[in-house]
Amino acid sequence: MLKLAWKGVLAHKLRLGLTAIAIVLGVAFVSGTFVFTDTLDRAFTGLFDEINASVDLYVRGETEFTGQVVPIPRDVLDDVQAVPGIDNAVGTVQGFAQFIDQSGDPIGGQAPTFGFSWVPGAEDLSVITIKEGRPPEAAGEVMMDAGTARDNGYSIGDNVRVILLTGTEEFEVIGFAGFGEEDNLLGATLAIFDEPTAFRVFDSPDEYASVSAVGDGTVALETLVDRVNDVLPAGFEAVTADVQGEEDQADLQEALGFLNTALLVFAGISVLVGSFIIYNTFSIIIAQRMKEMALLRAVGATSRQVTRMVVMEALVVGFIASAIGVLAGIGLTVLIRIAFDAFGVSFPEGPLTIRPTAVIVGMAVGMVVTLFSAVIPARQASRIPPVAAITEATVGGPRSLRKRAIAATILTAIGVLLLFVGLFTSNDDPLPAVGLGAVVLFFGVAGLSPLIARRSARIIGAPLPVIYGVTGTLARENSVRRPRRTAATASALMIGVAVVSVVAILAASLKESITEQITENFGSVDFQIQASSFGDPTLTGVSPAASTLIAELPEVDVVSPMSFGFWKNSNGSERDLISVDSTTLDEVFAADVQTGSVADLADGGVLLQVDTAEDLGVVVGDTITMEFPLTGVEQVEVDGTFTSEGLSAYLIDNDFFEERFSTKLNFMVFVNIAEGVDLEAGRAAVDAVLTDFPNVTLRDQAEFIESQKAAVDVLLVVINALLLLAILIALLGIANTLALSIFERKRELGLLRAVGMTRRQVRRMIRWEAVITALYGALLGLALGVALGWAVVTALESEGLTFGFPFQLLITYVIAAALGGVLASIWPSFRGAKTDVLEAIAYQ
Amino acid sequence: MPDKRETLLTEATAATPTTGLAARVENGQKIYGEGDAAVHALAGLSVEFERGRFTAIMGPSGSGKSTLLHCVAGLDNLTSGSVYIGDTELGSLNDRALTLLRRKKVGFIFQAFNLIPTLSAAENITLPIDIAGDDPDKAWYDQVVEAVGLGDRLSHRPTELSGGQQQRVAAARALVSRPEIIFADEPSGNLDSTAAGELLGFMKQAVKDLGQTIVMVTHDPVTASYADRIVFLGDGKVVGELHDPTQDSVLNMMKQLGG
Repeated sequence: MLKLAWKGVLAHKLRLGLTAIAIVLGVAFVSGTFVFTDTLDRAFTGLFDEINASVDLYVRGETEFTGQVVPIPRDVLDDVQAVPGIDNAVGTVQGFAQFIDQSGDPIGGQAPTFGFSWVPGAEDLSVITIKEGRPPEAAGEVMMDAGTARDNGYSIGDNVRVILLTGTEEFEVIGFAGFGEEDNLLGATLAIFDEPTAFRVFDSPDEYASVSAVGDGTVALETLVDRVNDVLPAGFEAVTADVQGEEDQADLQEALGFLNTALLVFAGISVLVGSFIIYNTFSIIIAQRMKEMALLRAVGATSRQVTRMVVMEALVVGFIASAIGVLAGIGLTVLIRIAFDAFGVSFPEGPLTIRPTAVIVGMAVGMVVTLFSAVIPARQASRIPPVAAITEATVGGPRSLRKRAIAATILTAIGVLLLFVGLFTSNDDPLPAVGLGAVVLFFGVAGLSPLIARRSARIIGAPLPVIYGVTGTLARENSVRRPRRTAATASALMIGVAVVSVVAILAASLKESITEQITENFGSVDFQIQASSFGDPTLTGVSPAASTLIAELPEVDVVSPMSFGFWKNSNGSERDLISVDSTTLDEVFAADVQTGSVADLADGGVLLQVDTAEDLGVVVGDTITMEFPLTGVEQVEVDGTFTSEGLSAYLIDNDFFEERFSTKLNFMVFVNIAEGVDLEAGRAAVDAVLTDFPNVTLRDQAEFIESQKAAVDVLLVVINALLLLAILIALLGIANTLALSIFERKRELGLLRAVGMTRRQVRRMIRWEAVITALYGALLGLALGVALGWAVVTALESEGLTFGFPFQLLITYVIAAALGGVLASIWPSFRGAKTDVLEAIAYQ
Repeated sequence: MPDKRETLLTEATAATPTTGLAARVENGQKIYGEGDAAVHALAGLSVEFERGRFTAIMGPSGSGKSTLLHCVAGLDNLTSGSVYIGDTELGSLNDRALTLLRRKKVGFIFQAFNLIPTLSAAENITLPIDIAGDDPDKAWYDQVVEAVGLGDRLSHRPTELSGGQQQRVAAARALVSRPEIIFADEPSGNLDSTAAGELLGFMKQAVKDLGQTIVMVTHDPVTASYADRIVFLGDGKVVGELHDPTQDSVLNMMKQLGG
C-alpha cells in the first residue's frame, strides 16, 4: 500500500504540488517565526554576554519599572569605589538626545535616541567602542554612533545639532562609536558626551543611570557584592553581572515570547486557511480517481486499505511539503534580516539560529494539518463501492449533506456560545475563548456554506449572463456545479476576509472613539504638541525646554504639559498614569469632575476615574497604595473623581510626578493662544520656536485627531501585512480548485471550442467562475467579520469603544477579493483555453 | 460579443458561393510521426462534398476517416494539401479565425458528450449562436426545434434526457446556426436501433427538407445507408464511392473492397 500511495503521489504531482504550496507557506511562517525569534534571542544573548563580560557587578534600584531608570547619586558611586576589593567602578549618565540632520529633520525617533556619558579610562567596562576618531573630552563635543554617521553622511569635524531636554545645541562630531561590534543597535542612535555635559543636558546633575564595577580579584564575587550592598543606601542593590545578565535575558525572552506568540497567531490563521485547501484538494483528487479506487476495491483491496493508501499519500505530501516549508522558513528569516538591514535597523551580529523546536513544530504542524485534512477525503474514498469501476456511481448523497448540516449547525452554535462567553461574561483572559470560538465558528459556517453556495453564487453571478451571454451563464453555472467544492474553496478566503474585516472594524471603531474622545475631552484646546514619530512614550517626547520657550511667547495664553509613566499597585502590577498641570488642566481637558477638585492635586494626591474609584472602593479623602520608581511605596490621597476617558484612569500633578519619576520628557503639551490673537499668528509663533525641536509636531484639533487615527492605520497596515499570507494561500486554493475542475471538464471545454468558443471566451468563462467563488468567500467572510467585529466592539463598549463601520475599506476588500479571483484564474484559464479539441473529444 | 474582426470575417466568408461545393480537400496529406515511424493517415486524398447532400464516409479502422473529418472541420491541420469550406482555405487561418469559422460555418455532432451539462436543452441548441453573441433566427429556430421533436423537454438539463434525445439536441444545435456544413462522427454509435433510426431520420430530413449539408463518419452499413452518397476510404485514400446506397449495396461494396 505504501508503494501504491507513493505511486499515487507521483501520478498526481502537479495537483498535489499545489496542495503542497499551501502547506509549505503555512509551515514556513511557523518555522520562520521560531527561527527569527531564536536568532534574535541568540544574538541578544551574545550581546549581553559581551556587555557583561568585563563587569563583575552592577548597582541598581531595587524595583524595576517599565521605561524608568532609577538614578544613582554620585556619592553612591564614590562609596562603591571605596569598597575594599573594588578595582574600578564606573557611573554612566544616560538620557534623551536626538540628532538633527543637515536639512533640519530629526534623525531616528521610531527607535530610541539614546544619549550617554563617556568615562575616560573605563573602556573595559563599557560596551561602547570607539570605531573612529576620539571620545568627547570637553563641552561642545559629541561622539556619534557609526551607523547614524554613515547613513546621514557625517564626517569627523562636522557640526551637528542635537535636541536635548535643555534645548537644542550644536556640537562638533569628534568620533564615531559602535555598540560592541555593531555600528548601530536596532536602529537606535547614540550621542555620547563628556560627563559634565551629560549631567547638564540630561538634566540629572550628579546622578548616574547605571553603575558597574570590577573587583581587584582579592575577594570572592559574593563577598564583594555583600560588601557593596552594605554601603548602598535604601532602595538600591548590588547584583553580580551574571544575575543582571540572567534578568536581562528573562526580560528579553518575555518580549520575544510575546513576539513569537503574536506571529504564531498569524501563522495559525495561515495554517487554518491552508487546511481548507488541503482538504479540498484531496477531496477533488479522490473524486477524480473514483474509478481507480473502485478498481482497487474490485481486485480485492479492503476499504480500510483504500483509506490507508489515501492517508499515506497525505503523509508523504505532508512530510515533503513540511520539510520544504521548514527550509523556506529559514530562508524567510534570512530575507527578513536583509530587509531590516536595508532599512538601517541592524540586529546584533549572530549566526542564524535553528533550534530543534523550529524544525519539530514546523514539521508537526504541517503533517498533522495535512493528515487531518485528508481524513474526511480518505473516508470518502473507502466508501467507493467496487461497482463504481464500471458504472457512473457517485460518492456522497443528500443524506450525508443533511448530516453535515446538523454537525455544522452544532459547531456554529458552539462557536457563537464560546464567543459569547469570552466577550460578555467577566473573566480575566477572554482571548482563548474568543479565539477558539472564532475558529469553531469558522468551521461551522464553512460546513453550512455548501447549503447556500448554489443560491448565493447564482445571485452573485446574476449579472454575468446579461453582460457576457452564454459565456457568463456557463461561468455562473460552473461555479455552483459542485457546491461543496465551491464552498470549501470559498471558506479559505472567507476566513482570511473575516479576520481582515474584524481588524478593519476594530480599527474604524478605535478611530471613531478617538474622534469622539478628542472632540469631547480636548474641545477647548487650540494646539497640541507631540513627538512626530510613534515611539515609546517614555523614550521620546517634548523637551521641557520647548514648553518653557513657548510659555514665554506673548501670543500664548496657556501651556499645559503632560507626562506619562508606570507605577505599581499593592499587587505589584504596573498601571499607567498621566501627570498634568493642575493649574491649567481645566482649560485643556474636560475631565468632567464628579467629586473633589483638580486644584487639590497641586499639593499631591491622585484623581481617579469614577469606575476605577468604584472598583477600588475609595472616595475623596481616602488613600490608595502606589509604588513609584524614585520614592517607593506611598499612601496617596484621592483628591477627586472624574468621568472622562481621554487620558488615564489616574491623574497626578506634574510636580508630584517629577519627584517620583525619572522621566523628563513631556508626553504631550497643550497650547492655547491668547485672546485677541489670531490663531494662525499664534501658530506661526509657536512653530518658530519648534524649528529647534523638529522631533515634535504642532497640531490643531483636526490634525491631532488625524495623527491619532494615523497611528491606528499604521497598526492596521502591520496586521494586514501579517494576514496577507493567509489571503494568498486562499487565492492559491481558488487557483488549485479551478485547475482541478478544468482538468475534469476537459471534454466539455473541447466541445465548447469545437462549436466556436474562442480561447478568449474560454478564459473569460473560467475567470468569472473564479471571481464568483472569490466573491462568495469574501462576502461570507465580510458578513462573519462584521458580526464578529460588532460583537467585540459591543463587548468593549464599557471601555469607551464606539462602533465604527469602515464601509469604503470593506468594499475595497471585496473588490480586492474579486481581483484576487482574477489573479487566481490566470493560470487555470490559460490551461483551459489551451485545451486540445481533438484530444478532448476523443472517445475512450 | 462580436467584435469588428469577427464581422469582417463573417462578411468575407459569407460571400455568395461560386461552386456547388460545401467543402473539399485537395491532395490532402496527414502524416503522424517522422522517418520510419511515419504514419500516413491521409495519403494525398482528394474529395468534394456537395451542398445540400448527406455524405457518409466509411472505411475500416485506421483508414483515415476520422482524420479526414477532423481536418475538413478545422479541428486539425493537414501536413500538406488544402482544405476548403465554401471558398475559405483553412490552412491560412489562425486559431481565432478557425474558431470563428467553426462557429459560423460548421456544425458538429459527436458520438457522445455533445451537450454542456449545466445548460438546458434549449440553451444547448442555441449555444453556437449565443457564443457568437448573435440573435437566433426565430423562424429557423422554431423549425429546427419542431423537427427535433423534443416538445416540453426543451427546458430540461441533458442528464434528464434519454441518449437519443441528447443526440437529437446535438443535431439541432448543429443545425441552428445554419452552417455551411455539418460534421457527424458516429452520431448514433451509442444509441439503440430505434433511437438511432430516429436520429438518422432527423438528419436525413434536415438535408432533404431544410437544405442542409451533412458529412458523417461511420463504420456501420445501416447508418451509412441513410446517406445520399458514401465515400469509402482505405489507407488514407478514397477507394470507392456509392450513390443513393441501400443496405445491400453498402454491404456489397464493403465485401468488394475488403476482398
